[in-house]
Formats: sequence, structure tokens, C-alpha cells
Amino acid sequence: MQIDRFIEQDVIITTVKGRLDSSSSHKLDDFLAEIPAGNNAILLDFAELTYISSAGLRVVLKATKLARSHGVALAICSLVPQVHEVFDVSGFTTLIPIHPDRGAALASFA
Amino acid sequence: MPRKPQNILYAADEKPPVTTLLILGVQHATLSLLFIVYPLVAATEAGLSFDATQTLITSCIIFMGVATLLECWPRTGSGLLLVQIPNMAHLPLAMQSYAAGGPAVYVTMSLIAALTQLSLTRFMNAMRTLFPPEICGVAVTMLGVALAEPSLRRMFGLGEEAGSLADGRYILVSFTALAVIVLLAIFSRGLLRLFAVAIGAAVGWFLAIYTGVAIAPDEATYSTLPYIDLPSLGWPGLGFSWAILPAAILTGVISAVDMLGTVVSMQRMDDADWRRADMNQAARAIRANTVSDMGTAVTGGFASASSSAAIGVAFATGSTSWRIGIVSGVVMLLAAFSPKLIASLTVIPAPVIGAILLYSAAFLIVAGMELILSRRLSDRRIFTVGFAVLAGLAVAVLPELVHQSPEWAQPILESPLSVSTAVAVILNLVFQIGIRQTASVPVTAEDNPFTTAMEFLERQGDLWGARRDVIAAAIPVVAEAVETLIDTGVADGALEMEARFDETNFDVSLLYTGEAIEIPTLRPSPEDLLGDAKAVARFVGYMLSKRADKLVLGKRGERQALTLRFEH
Repeated sequence: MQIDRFIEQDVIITTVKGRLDSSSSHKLDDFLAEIPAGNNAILLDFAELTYISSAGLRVVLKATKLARSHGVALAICSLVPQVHEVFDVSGFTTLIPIHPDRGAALASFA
Repeated sequence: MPRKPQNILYAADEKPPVTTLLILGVQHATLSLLFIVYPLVAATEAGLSFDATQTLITSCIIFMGVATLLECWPRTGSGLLLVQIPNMAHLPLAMQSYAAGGPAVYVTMSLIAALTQLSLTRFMNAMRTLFPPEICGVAVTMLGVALAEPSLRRMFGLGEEAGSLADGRYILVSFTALAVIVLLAIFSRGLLRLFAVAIGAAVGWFLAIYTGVAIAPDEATYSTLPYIDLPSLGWPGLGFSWAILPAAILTGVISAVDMLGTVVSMQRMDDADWRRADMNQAARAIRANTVSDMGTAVTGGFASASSSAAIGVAFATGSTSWRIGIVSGVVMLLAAFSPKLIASLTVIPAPVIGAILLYSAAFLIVAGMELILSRRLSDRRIFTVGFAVLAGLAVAVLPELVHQSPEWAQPILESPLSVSTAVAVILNLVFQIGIRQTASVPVTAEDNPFTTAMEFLERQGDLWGARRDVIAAAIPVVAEAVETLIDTGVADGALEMEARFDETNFDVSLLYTGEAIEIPTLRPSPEDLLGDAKAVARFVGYMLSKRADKLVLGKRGERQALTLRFEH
């Protein structure tokens, strides 16, 4: 799994490439454990995430709660269909804003 | 009800507007009547009298109409658009029978061929085993390949004799007709697309008249034919020849395979989510065909079968409604009352027929390839398909091989469709040896659940020829189950992953020592994912129950068995 982070329009964008399961989710957990100061939103771009297990969902849920506790918005974008199904079934689509692509997500933060 | 593909305007159960229905029905019937040339060839070769030829042709047309009606009407047949043409596979049987004892022998041999076809429909479970999708795909592809030689010969104006030269006028006519059909089928909408084949044929026919390729009917005979007349049918009696019996049985088998190929092609064309051949529907179509074949046999006619050329027309026009077939059947019955009409249709320019056949061949070849690739292919299946196609091509490009075989075997060996299908069926059965329908692997905490599930399920999917999308859907669900059972400690350190396949279901059981997980009927709160192991297992249990088609908890001996079912 490969994780990259950069800032665009004052939004911290984290991209994840590969599979997010129990063997790799701690890396993303470490990435999302702190909310950098001076930014008003976090976007998880999962365009290249091919698989997510419940361990991955747990990390996303923790990050969402952390962001909310700091008053920072968090959203997800660009889910591939098989990952989108997991978010649907788990009920995460009602908890976290999910956008079809990065442009739509950035526009929602504006 | 099947989901209609985007390129289909009128699906099998839909009602096109009456005018469209009538014109499409006439278009199909006209195309079918053009193939009256096959029994004409048999009659000419056998030196049949004018009256006997009339009986042969008239009975053939009447029962083409009857068979089309019976096969298309859902109550008696398949509910698919299946339009009959004279059965090319009967050509060698008719010629051998006429040579051995005249029309009476052909009556008996036709009845035997029809009974052979009929008897095959009694073994549909065996047919399912014999004809998995990739084998149906080989048959459909070879239906297309078998059309290549007669279509290209007509398109280039090549004679039967070796060394004959291509005729530029034929090339001009055929490629113009083909271009019109293809362009209208791809780029046009509405009426132009619906009549793509008729317009292409008309353009080709005019061009053929202009270039002098079109042949006028023999004026002396043509002028004596009435516009309307009662059809002449006869009872030629019964004759028998032991020498031709094997050919009759083989012709029945070939005809059944041919019918299966056209039925599967229509099923595939009509259903965007096609999964496997509906053998019961195929059996109904074959039974309807055999009833009419028996009728044509006892009235001195030539047998028919559903047309692969009509499949091309259905694709070009985007119309697969069975009601079109009903109109076609009625038009054929009416045509039997007009000897002059039939005579005028038999002189359609050869390059125009060639263009229509080539269009159909192109569609069938690709439709067959799609069927073949709809399943995962192990090395065994790759060689089954590859060798089968090559065997068919061998007899197509090396006819001298066929000529060296025993005479009784030549009718089957000279058909690329028969040879390919036979080789595919035999290799498929041979390569089943050693493949168990259940397999398992141990999984430990050191294994990556996703990688283990992917490698195991893909390997088994290849061996069993499972659908790609089913295996792809099963892998993440199974991986999630394994990960949860091991990580939460529900399973005592390790488990056994067992897969089972029976064509309609792909089951994966996880066998472990420990407690059964709870499967809530209502979705737990996502907060449970941050709770203890039991709460996480319950949350995942709910997700598994929603992502698999069925989740069953049970016990196998002392071990728990969590079975995930994926419908196939």
C-alpha cells in the first residue's frame, strides 16, 4: 500500500493506493493520527484503493471522529465500485460525505 | 425477465409497432427463402424431375414456416426470434440418399435424423455438462467460421474448381452491399437501421443488374409458373439403406448442435446479464424443429434449421422480438402458394447473399469469442478451446484430409462446426479427469487473507471455469471473513478455506475451531468497529451477510463452518 499526502486549496489530501487491510491499516492510522494546524479540511482520495476491510474502515472512522473533535471537515472521494459497496453496506455513506471525484469534493469544502 | 442490452430496440418479449413488425417479418422471410438454393442444389445433383423438385421445395418452404411459428411462439417453442432456413447439414444426406434409392430413402433418413435430434433433448442435464459456456462459444464461433467459405466464394465470384479467378464485378457488388449494411447498422437510427439488411441487399441487387452479375430466371420455365397455386406435396414412400444410417444419425447430432448454437446466440444477444445457456429453452426450440422436420420428411421435402444468417439480421436491426418470427412464418407459408415468387427469389445475385452471410459470420465469430471469455480459463480450458477451433480450421483449409476418411464419416468431418464441437466436447470431458469439485487450503495468522483468498479462488475458478465476475466478487468478501475470524481471535489461530463449485453456486466455507459469530439482522452501529472483538465480529457478520448471496452458519464435526454462497 502507498500513501501520499499533499495540500491543495487549504485541504489536506491523502491518497491511498492498493489494499487497506489489517496488515496495512496502521500506516494510514499513523498518517491520520494528527490534524496539521492551519488547514480547514481533510480529503481522503481513494481513487486507487482497490480493497478495504473492516480494519480499514475502523481507521477511517477514527480519523472522522478526530477531525470532528478538532472542528475540521473530512470527506472521501473517488471510490471504485467494489469499495463503494463496502461503504454502502457498512453505513459509512451516511456518516461521512462521499463525493464522486476530487473536484466535487474540493468544491464542497469551498 | 432478462435485462435488455443497449443495442437492442425490440427485445424478445417486446411488441414492435405493427408496420415495423410486418416489414421486419417480411425481411427475415425473404432472406430465408433465398436459401432455397440448398435443396435446389440437392435436386439438381440428384437429377430429380421437375415435379419431384417442386415437391421438395414447396414442402421445405411450408415446414420452414411451420417450424418458425412453432419455435418462436413461447407456448410451443422458445419465445426467441428463430427463423428457419433449409438445413445445410442435410445437403450431403439428401444427395447420398437420392443416390442410394431416391426420395423414399431420404424420407427415412430424414426421419431418423429428426428422431436423433429429438432424443438429444431428453438428456438436458447431460447437455449442460457437455456444453458449458466455453464449448457453446466454440460452437457459435465455428458457426461463423463455417459461413466464411460460402460467403467469401460468393463475394469474390470464385467457382468451386481450383484455380478459379476472382471477378471484379462480384467484389464491387458484394462489398457495396456489405458496406451499406454495416454503415446503416452502426450509424443510422429508426427505419434505416431496421431495414439495414434489406436496403443493403436492394442496393447490391441493382448494382448486380447494372454490372451484369444478376442472372435472369429461365424465361421458358418462369413464364409457365403461376402466380398463385396450391402447394404440391407428396408421399414418396419409405426406403432404407444401412450404408447411410450413420450419416443420418450424425446429421441429427449436427443439426442439434447447430440449433443449440443459434439459440444460445439469441439468448446472449437478448440478455445483457447472460450467464449460461438455458438448455430447456434450447430443448423446446429443437423439439419444435424436429416436429416440422418429420412433417417435411413425410411430404417429400427438405429439412430446415434455425438460421445463423437471421441472427446477423437481428443484430443489424436491433430487433429480437419473437413476434417478428411469427410474421416471418406466416409469410413463408403464404410464399409456398406462389411458385413464381419462389422462382424469382432463387435468382438473387450470389455476391449479395455472400455479403449478408459475411455480416452474419462476423457477428457469430465475435459472439462466440465473448462466450468463451465469459469464464475463467485454466490451461486445460485454453487447450480445449484452442485445439477445438484448430481442428475445425484444419478441415476447412485442408479438405484433402476429409477426402481420405471413410465415406460415411465425410458429412460430419467436412463441417468445421461438427469437428470443432466434437473435439471441444471430448477434450472437455477428458480434461475433467482429476478435477475435484471441492478444494481447500489451510490459512494461518501469518498469511495475508486477501492474497491467500485471491490465489486460491482464482486458481479454483480457472480449473472449474467459473465466471470472472463471481470470483472477483467473492475474493474481497472471503478475505474480509478470514481477516476478521483470525484477527479478532474468534478462530483459534488458523482455519481451513474450502471452495465448492456446482455451476449454479460457488460456495466458500471457512472451517475453524472457536465460537460461531453472530449475524445481526439489523445493521449495527459503525461505532461497533471501535469496540471489542465480539462487537467487531458482529459488525463484520452483518456485512458478510449482505455482500454474499447467502451466509450459512453451521458445524462440521467439532469445527464451526461459516459458508459464503455466491450465485453463479
